[in-house]
Formats: sequence, C-alpha cells, structure tokens
Amino acid sequence: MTDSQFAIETIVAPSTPPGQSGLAVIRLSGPDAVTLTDRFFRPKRSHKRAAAMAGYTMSPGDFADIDEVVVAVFLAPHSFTGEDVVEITCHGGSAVKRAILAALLEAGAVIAEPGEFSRRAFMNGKIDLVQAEAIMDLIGSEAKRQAASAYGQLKGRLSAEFKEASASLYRAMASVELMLEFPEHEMHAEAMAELSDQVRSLGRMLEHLSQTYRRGRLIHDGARVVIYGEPNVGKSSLLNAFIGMNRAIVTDIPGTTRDTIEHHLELGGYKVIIVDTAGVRETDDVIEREGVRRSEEAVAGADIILALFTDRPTEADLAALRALQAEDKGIVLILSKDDLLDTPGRQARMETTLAMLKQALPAASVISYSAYRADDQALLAGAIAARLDETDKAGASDLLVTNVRHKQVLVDVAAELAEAASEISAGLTFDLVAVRLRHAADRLAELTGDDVSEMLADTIFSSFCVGK
Amino acid sequence: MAGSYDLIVIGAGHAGSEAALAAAKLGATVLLLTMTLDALANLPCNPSIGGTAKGQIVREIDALGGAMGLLADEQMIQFRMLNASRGPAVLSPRTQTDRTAYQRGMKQRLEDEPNIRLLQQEAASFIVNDTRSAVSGVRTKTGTIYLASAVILASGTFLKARVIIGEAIYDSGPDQLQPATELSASLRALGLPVRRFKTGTPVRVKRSSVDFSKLEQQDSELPAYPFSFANELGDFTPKAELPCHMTWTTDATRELLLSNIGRSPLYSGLIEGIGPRYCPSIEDKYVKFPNHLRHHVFIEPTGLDTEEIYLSGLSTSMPEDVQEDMLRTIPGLEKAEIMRFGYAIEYDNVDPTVLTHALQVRDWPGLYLAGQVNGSSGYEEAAAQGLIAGINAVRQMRGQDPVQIDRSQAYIFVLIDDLVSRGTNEPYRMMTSRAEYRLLLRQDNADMRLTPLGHELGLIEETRFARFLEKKTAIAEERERLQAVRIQPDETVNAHLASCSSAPLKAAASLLSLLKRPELSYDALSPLDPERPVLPQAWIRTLEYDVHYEGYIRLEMSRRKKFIELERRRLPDDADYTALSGLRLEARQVLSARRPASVGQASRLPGVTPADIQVLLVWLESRTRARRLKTSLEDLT
Repeated sequence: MTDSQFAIETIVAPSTPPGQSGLAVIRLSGPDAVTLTDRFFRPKRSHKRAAAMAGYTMSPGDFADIDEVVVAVFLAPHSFTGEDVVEITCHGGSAVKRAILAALLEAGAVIAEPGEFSRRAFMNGKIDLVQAEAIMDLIGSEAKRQAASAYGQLKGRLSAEFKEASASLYRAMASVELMLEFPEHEMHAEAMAELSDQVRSLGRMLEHLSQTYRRGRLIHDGARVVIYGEPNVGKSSLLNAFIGMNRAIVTDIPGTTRDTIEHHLELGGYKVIIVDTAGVRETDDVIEREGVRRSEEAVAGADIILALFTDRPTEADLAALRALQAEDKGIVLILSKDDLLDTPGRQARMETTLAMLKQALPAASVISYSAYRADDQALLAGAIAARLDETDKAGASDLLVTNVRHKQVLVDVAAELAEAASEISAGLTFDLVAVRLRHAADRLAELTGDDVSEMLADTIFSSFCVGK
Repeated sequence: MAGSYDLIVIGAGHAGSEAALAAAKLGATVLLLTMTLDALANLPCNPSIGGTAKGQIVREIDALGGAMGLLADEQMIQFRMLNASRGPAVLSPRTQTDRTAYQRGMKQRLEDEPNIRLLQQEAASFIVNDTRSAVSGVRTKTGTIYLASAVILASGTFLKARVIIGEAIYDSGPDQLQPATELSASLRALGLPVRRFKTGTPVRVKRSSVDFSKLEQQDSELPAYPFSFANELGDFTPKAELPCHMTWTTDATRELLLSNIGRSPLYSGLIEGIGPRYCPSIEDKYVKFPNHLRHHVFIEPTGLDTEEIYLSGLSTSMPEDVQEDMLRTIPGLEKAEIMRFGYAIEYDNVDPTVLTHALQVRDWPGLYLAGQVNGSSGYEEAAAQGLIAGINAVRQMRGQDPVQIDRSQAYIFVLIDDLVSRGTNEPYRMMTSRAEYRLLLRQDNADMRLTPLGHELGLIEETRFARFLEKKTAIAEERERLQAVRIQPDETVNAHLASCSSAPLKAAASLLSLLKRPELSYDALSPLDPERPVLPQAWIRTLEYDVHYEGYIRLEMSRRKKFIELERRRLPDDADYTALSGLRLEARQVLSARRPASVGQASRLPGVTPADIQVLLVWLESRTRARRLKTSLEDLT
C-alpha cells in the first residue's frame, strides 16, 4: 500500500486497444489491486505467491471460470504508477474482457479516467511531465524509428536541450538586468553587439530545432503517402495490390471512391500512411465534389505523392506537380496499367512518355507499374522508402522534435528572440527588450517543465486515453 | 498598567512613523514609542529619498495615502530622474532631502495627529496574553506596562546594535544613539529566529574644506517632479535645487585600502553580521572587483542648515587614520575635513519568513514586524512595510481581511512577498529586476495602480480621490480625442513629420496612430493638433507611455494573466503535504511548515521547484474534479 493520496480508489482499465486481439491486458492500480484480483482469481497450482502466476478468473455470480489468464503483480513503489499494480493478461475477445472488468468493478474497483495511470505515476514522482508526453508518444508508436525517438525523449535528452537553451537565455537576461539596475554601468557598443548576437544565435538554434519537426513528425506520426490521379487511372487497384488487402472497392466506374481511405503500414523502418483519394477532377456531382475537396486536402497534407498516369500528362498536370515539389513533397510518378501493352503502338508510346517524365521532373522517381505484377510492388516500395530516406537525412539531427506543442513553442520563442536581437541592435531601451526576453523565457519554460501553468498539466493528461 | 491603546508601535523611524500615521488615520489609538524624540525619522546614511526602484516605492506609498512622498517633496533640495536612457519602466525619481528639516517635518506630523501619543521610552519586552497566546502589550525599560490589541515592532538597526570603526568596536545605534539592549531577548523568548546583519555608511566632510574647482558638477534637474500625486497639479518647485559633485578614487586609494585591508573589520573577522552585496564598502569593492581601478564618488548636500556633506560611494569601516589618508588620495578631497567617520553597524533582525503576508508573526497573533527588523535595507523599503503593517494591524482588530498582496500590482507587494515567502540572507534592497511586471509598475502610474485601493482602505480622503478620478477620466478622454482626430496627409503635415524624422503620411491617420510611432512624442505632435486641451505634464507622460509601449504592455499583461491564475488557485487549509509522495521531500517539509495560501505563493517558497508545483496542480485538479464515469465498458473493450 502506498502513501499516495490518490490511492483512495483502485482503478482498472484495459491497457490494450479495444476490439478483438490475440491477448489483452487489464491493468489495476491502487491499494486494493491485489486483494480485488485475489477474489476472482484461482491459481492453477497452489504455489506461493509469485510475480506472475497462471490461473483462472472467475465470475462473481457463480465463481465459474471466465478465462485462463496470467496475473502479474508489481508492488508499490516498484511499479509504473508507484502504487500496487496488477496486470491480468487474458484472451482478447471483447466478451472476455468485459466479463473480467465487470467482476473487478463488482469487487470495488473503478474505471480509470483517461490518462489516470500516467497521472498517478506523475503524482508519485515516477515520471515528469515531458516524460508523460513521451509515454503518450511511445504508446502510439507503430514503427521502430518512432519508438527510438520517443524513447530518447523519455530518457530526457530533449529536455536537457531545452534546459540548456533556457539557461543561455537567462544569461542574456542577466546582462540586460545588470544594465537596468545599476545606472553607473555603461554598456559599450561591442558589448551591445555581442548581446544582440548572443540572443540572435540562440533564436537560430531554437529555430533549427523546430525544423527537425518535419522529420520528427515523419517518424512520429508517419509519412502520409497520397495516391493522386484522374478518375479511373487505377488508384484503388494500386492501393489494393500494394497493401495486399481489399480495403477499397475496385471498380471501373470513375468516382466510386468518394472518400479518402487510409492504411497504415511499415516500410523500410518508417511508419507509412497510404491515403487513397477520390479522382481529382471538375464535377457537378455534389457527393463527388465533397470527395474531391477531401482529396485536395489530402494532397495538401501529403509528404509523398504517388502521381498515377495512364498516358502522357498534360502541361497543367506537370505544373501542378512541380508546385507540390516546391512545397518539399516527394513525388513518385507512376505510369500505370502497362499490362495493357498488347494495344498496338502502346509499347513505344510508354517508352517515350517515361523518358519525357524523367526529363520534366528530374527530382522525382519515375516507374512503370502494374497492379498485377508482384515485382512492381517491391519497386514501388523501394521508391517510397528512397524518398523517405531523403527527408530523414535532410532533417538529420541527434534530437528530434516530434510533438506539435514543442514545435510551436520553439517557433514562437525563436521569433521573439529574433525580434529582441533586432531591438537591441536598433537601440530600443533595455526595459522593453527585457519585456520581450522575459516573455520568451516564460514560453521556453513550457518546454523545460519550469512553467507552472495549470493549463499545461491539464493538456498533457487529457490527451491520454483510458488505460494509460 | 499605565495605559491601553489599539496599537503600540515600537520605533519612530520610517517604518514606525508610517505605521502610526496610517493606523491613526484609520481611527485607531496609537502609542508610538521612540528611544529619543530628537531623532525621529532619522536619515543616518545618505539623506536621499528615491532612486532606482525606491523612487517607485515612494510614489506607491503616496498613492496609498502614506506620508513619505509628501514630506520628501517639502524638503527636496535636489532632484534627478534616473535612467532616462534606459526606458520608462525603470525611470526613477531620486532626491536629496534637507535632513534635519525632514525629521522635524515628520515629528510635526506625528504631533498633529490626535490619535497618536508620542512617547520617549525604550520598549524592553513584549507582554503575552497566555489565554489567547497573543502579544498584547509592551513593558518599557522602566517597568511600565502598556497594553494594546496589536504591537508593531519597527526597531530598525537598533536591536543590540554595535558600531565598528577599524579596530574600535562599541555598543551604539546609528549616529551615537543608544542601542536597544533588551528587546532581542524577548523576541528570542517568543521563539523567533533572530540573526545579525551589518550595514555601513560613508564619511561626512565639511563643505568649505572641499576643493570644488577640481570636481565635475551635476546640477539638480529641471523641472523637478514631485513624489506626491497631490503635488502634480500646478508648478512644483523644490525648496532648493543644489548641485552635487563627482570625483573618482585613484590608484593611490586602491593601494592604500588594499595595503590596509587586514585592518578592515570586514576582513579581520570583527564583523559577524552579513552585509548588503548591493551596497558594498569601498574596501570591499576593491577586493571584490579587482579589475575596477577607480570608483565614482558623489559629493552630496545633506541640508540647507549645515556644512556637512555626504561622500556617496565611500562607505567604509576602516580605521580612522586610513579614512583620513583615503581622502588625501581623491581629487578635490585632499584637504577635506572629516566631520563624521564612516562606520559599520551590526544589529539583530528577524528572519521574515516567520511572517504572514500581513507582516504579522504567524505564531504570535498581535505582533507585527516592519522595516529593517525584517532584514530589509533602505528608508523607502522600511516606510512601505510600516504603512502596510499599520493598515493590517487595524484591519485585524476590526475583523477585516489583510491587504491583498499582489506582486503584479506594486513594488511594495513584491517587497513584502519576497521577504515573507523567500526570506533574505542579506539586507534586502529593492531592485526593478525583482518585479516580474516592471513595465506595469511604473513610477508615473502608481496612483492608477493603488489609489483606488488606498481609498477603499480609508487612507485616501474623498477630495483627493475625486481629483484622482478626474485625472483618470481626463486621460481616457484625451486618448479618445486622439483616436477621433484625423490628420490629412498634406505638405505641411509631412514636412513636420519629416522634421521629426518620421515617415510621411500616405492616407489620413488618427493622432493616436501617429503617437504610436516611437519617434513622435505628444509634444512633437502639437503643431498638428492645435485644438488640444491643456493637461498637466505628468498626465501626458502616462498617456504617452501607455500608447507608445502598448505592444510591450500587452505582452506583460498576458504574462500577468497566467500569474494571476496561479495566485487565485487556493491551496486547501487542511492539505496533508506529507502524503503527497510526488513532491520532493524538501518541498513536503517547506509546504507543511509554511502553509502557503495559493499555488502562486507556494511557487515562490525556497525548496519548492516547478516540478513540485506541477504535482500540486495535478493534485488540486483531481481533488476538485468529480470522477467522470462516462466511459462505458463497451467503449473500453
């Protein structure tokens, strides 16, 4: 039993996602975690209490077995929350989970609020807020690189970087304060220039850090790969073939795919989200117009665009792709349906089109592709991974900003510091420069954990889900 | 028992006098005890009032209805506005006062107040009412007992004071006044943590012995601005406008002091008390800043009725012969004749963290501490505490809440919050950097910030409050008028703007938008604005700052908003911090001992880190929030 004031109630929730799965974990935390579990747990053998035991959970009504389970016990304070924690691993069917939860609730446990396990861990000094945020990221991580970056944050590397930046800002502020406080202190022109440089370079450093967000987001949220092209060029066939799953309806009728469809997969160590869009074309059909609007949105938010053509693209198409390339989006040009090559003259036309595309968009990958050829799927996967590697290298840095809140603060503080540096150079009175620097320091404190506004703590825990 | 009063104030220095006057004005009967009637409101160091951050405090005291600003205005013999090049947030009025006249002025004021009985007698111990465990009176050195609902101790530097000059050391208060020898023991008997601080003062010399021909002269600034908002209408003319003079120490000064450093009581170990880092003695400056080869010396007048002048920057406790020799090394002072030697003074004071924000001893209801006894330094800091303690003592006896201490509202509140929350391990001097919202706490807007509060407390009388409201309205109306008057772009206008190094107008613009340009002052716009009303300069300055620095003020306001939220986040009285295992051990102990009223206050306690505050916030949040059981089993599985 712990001395935490939170330990009034023992909370319970599944810590694995809802829905069917092989196994599921139901987690309890609180002073009664062990006794509550004991009431409905029948060990297989009457061995001494061990850290993990196999056995059966029983229904509260007739004590009939519900499921065969493994129970793991973590006693306070050596658990994630710092309280007594019990993890019941059961079979993953919804009915089983529900029955076990119902038994525990009946016994007196209460359903955990979103983020409550982490909040208790925080309250018991097991994690700090930045670590709590990283846990949230780690839970959602689906690919190796993403997990590595979230783990780095959990270990506090990013925090250390933020703290160093903050210390450097405080040094600059101290010079300003000294000037303000002691009228007999005169500041020479060189000292002023030095101060201005100091503030400016700190601003640049933070700006650079904020720019790792693009790569950070790629790793954390995954790369958004959008399939783009006229209706009926085979977008859904590509998606289906590529992910090997029959998620989109494949027909020959233009405009069947009226909504965007996403599929998550791992590719070359990256998390990738393939987005299927409705055909982008002018239309009067209301429903289709909505689909077109959504696909335009998807293209705007894409990291990589798979541009699908059956024939030579128009100049307008190429111009549109060049514009997207200018927005740092990776482009893979795909000449589709070359399985129909038996059409007379088609082969030659394909060859010239491929050559023309390579010339028109030299920075793009160009491949010819058939949804029915297995090798082409690997070819396409290779082209996407190559594009991702490029972005990955462009943002190369030991540290990655993966959290949009962090990125926004960095961008804001960098802007304030750039402004302050110009103000110092322009000879603005130091009392006003100090106002800006203090404001910047306050914002930066939101990243170092030195900010004590209640909004921050609330935001972080409220974005957790139940069971975490 | 010789008498019973609402309030007894011990000490009639700057803190004690303000406390007595405020309490009397609020209708309380006050016994004001002083060691000698001939040294009330003494200015034993530089008779200077104001200065960086301190000037703001004097204006705040005045805005709340205190006396210091009015008295300093009456006895002003030199005026300067400091930090003009550093911006409006740190602009600070600083004056020299006619020292003895200032003291007489305060004495007169105290004598004129019918609710105050002014009595020359030394307080020796506190009377404790055992049933209430409260302080309920004072026994004097002669054994007489006076009772009261509350006692304010404002003992300055007099408790067990001793003076040190070189190797000489003797029991004495400042200016050879008698030290208070018995009260420290009574404070200790109450269980209060008494410790020792040290401060010092420079040499005073005879004016006629100084060779002014070698010195740089700094004239009193014109126009002089009054401290008191009551004096800002009409022409304010100081009693005198004396210059000060400036010289520098030399290599010879440095050599002399460093070669005699072993004879300095600071370095020989004679001085035990902790001195102010921000006001070091000259020998200390040479030791601590070895790269500074010379230091400023300001030669300042101390009054109209005396030849005695003050050598600012030469604070020292060196032996007398070294002090004599030191002057020989300084241009203009070679033949200066010393009238008072510089000295260090050690005194008992109380760790102010035993106080509540009302300046009341937490464990001894009825006992308030104000001024240097709380570890502060400076006349202004003392007066501010006296004023607040006086008000609170009366409010407590009437069952009213103490004055709300909001750091974003006044330097006075920053001072009190710093002392009682963080404490101080050296004589505490106010600095503008201690205030988080400096641009909001300007000297020009002290009345806007505090006069409504002074009125509500009962210290600002109706006529003065009515004048304040008129000012507030006039400034708001002028701002509206500036917004309404539109200037058309024509050649005359643009020629005028060009002459002010300002960009020409392309389209019609309001006067207000022109005033937002940093290069255009209100005065500079006068040729474009023939219809403008005649307003006092002081009012125009406030308007101008608010318009010029709007963007920066907005930044401070947004920071302040966050601050206020935490100040309003109350901590429950019954919180059991020892059970909050997320708090570090030190934080649990500090919070349990000090029991802050709000999360904001908690955040300023030494030993409480931001991580601890986050724990408190999350804890409060989960305490107040009813458990939401909206999640259904179906959703979870």
